[in-house]
Amino acid sequence: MEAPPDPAPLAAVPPAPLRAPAVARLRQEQEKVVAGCRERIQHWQRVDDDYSALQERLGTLPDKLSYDIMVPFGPFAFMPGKLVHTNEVTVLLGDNWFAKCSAKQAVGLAEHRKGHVRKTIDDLKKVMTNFESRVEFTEDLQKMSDAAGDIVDIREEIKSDFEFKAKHRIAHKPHSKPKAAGASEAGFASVEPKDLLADQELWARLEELERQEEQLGELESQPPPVMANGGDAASSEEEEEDAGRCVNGRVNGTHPAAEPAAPSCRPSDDPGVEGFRGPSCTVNGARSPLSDEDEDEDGDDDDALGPGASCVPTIYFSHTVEPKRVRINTGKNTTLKFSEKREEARRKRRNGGGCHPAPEPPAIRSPADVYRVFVDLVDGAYVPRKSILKSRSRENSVCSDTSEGSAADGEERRGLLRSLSGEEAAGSDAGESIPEEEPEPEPEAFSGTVTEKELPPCLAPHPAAAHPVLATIPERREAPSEGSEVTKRVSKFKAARLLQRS
Amino acid sequence: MEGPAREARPEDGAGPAAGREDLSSRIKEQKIVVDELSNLKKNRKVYRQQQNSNIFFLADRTEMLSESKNLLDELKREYQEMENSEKTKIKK
Repeated sequence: MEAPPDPAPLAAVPPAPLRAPAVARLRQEQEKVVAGCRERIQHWQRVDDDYSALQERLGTLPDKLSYDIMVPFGPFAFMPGKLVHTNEVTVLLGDNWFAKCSAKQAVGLAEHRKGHVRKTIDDLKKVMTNFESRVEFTEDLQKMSDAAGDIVDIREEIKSDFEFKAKHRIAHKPHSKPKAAGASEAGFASVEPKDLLADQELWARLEELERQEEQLGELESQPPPVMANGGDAASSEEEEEDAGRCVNGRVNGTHPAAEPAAPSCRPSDDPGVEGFRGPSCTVNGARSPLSDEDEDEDGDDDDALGPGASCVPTIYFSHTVEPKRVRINTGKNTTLKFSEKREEARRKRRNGGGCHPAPEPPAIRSPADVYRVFVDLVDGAYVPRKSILKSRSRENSVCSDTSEGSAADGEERRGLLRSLSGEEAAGSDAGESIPEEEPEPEPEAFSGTVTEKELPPCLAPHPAAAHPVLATIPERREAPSEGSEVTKRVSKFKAARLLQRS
Repeated sequence: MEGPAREARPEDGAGPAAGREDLSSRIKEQKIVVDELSNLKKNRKVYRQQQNSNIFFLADRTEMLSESKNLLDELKREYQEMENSEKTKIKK
């Protein structure tokens, strides 16, 4: 065996990928233990038999006054003689102490010793069976590592921040400090909860995080995952909505663990991005379909065909907790990021909530960005807008409209419509300019729109020209003739009915 | 005055092959014992060794002979059984 002189026969399988020599050695050691146990059991079995024979002899010994025996003379010689005082037995108690007792008492003593012996035998048998099962398992392991075809080793690397999180769940005590755990990725260790009590600081931090997120998002063209901010007791409630409770499971977990204690859950952007990218790239780069969701990295399946180190394909599994965000599945690669919208909203709020455009125009490069930018305010909560391409069964009882023109229009219109909330006015205005393709199709062409309640007469001519088949999506648009006034909404069912009637 | 040593040996819990060998050797020994005992003159004393010690107790010759024969038969039976079971295993 080429094994190094490791002494532990109980060595567990090394954390590295399965290696045939290591597994073989483990098996050997385990078999050694089993053999040793077997020998010892045999020995103790013999001892037990000896005691039984002794008991038998002692039982019959007092029957006669004397016995003819061959008295041993030294190791090899014997002399015929007699055994007398057959009832007097001197028993060795250990440490050169003897006890003189009768034959019966000696029998009792022997029985007592037999009990001990049996106990020892039982223990050894247990150990033996235990190790026999381990040997079986190791055999299976060996077969597994040999037959590297179908069997895949799945590993989940546990990040320290998981434990960190668990330890740091403190109740909502205003002055309780979270325990500082070494170089934690959460990075809140150094920040006192007191500081975060203040709303403004909280907002500031959130904004910072979101800004970083955005930057990373732009760099990576993927929404980057958000780090866990462990143990902020005070801020937990508020942060819960955003970033407080999202845990990021990194693929391969080789992200630089020692992130600075600065209140950012991300290290410096570029290196961080690279660092983040690096491991993912090594893993066959198979991240794209699944891991484009920002937080939804549940079970990233990366078939890391072990780079020569092991013959077993390995899946590195990361467990993530879905953040409590509003998130809708708007398509393959889009996940609405709550935080960004929130940041926007806040920003606008800070700017005075006027109708002036946002300081920085949202960089919209993909349909996903559109959804990110446009937010609805529903009952005081920020709700991402649902794609008009998706059938909104709740809102509209009709099927989707898939025409591009109307899609663009839809967004624009919705942007107009939602200018109710001052916060979004800016955003929508800003965004409006971008998807401004055709403000409206021809009045007679299908618009697939439903207009608000007050416009039933207006509605009538439109759908008349429209295709009856397609006159299905009543989208909340304002009629072109009306301009950008806000009108009362009509219930979708009513709208549908109106449409169908006309 | 001969005193053929006679030990009682416990059975091993070893594997089938080792058990088989062990059993066969024990059978051989037992055969020798029986032959020796049957080949003794009438006036000979037979002593029996106490297990694990050097003391020999006087024992009756005829009794010892019958005992040894019984033991031999037992061992042979065991051996046969073991062989049969192995054959059935191989067949399966």
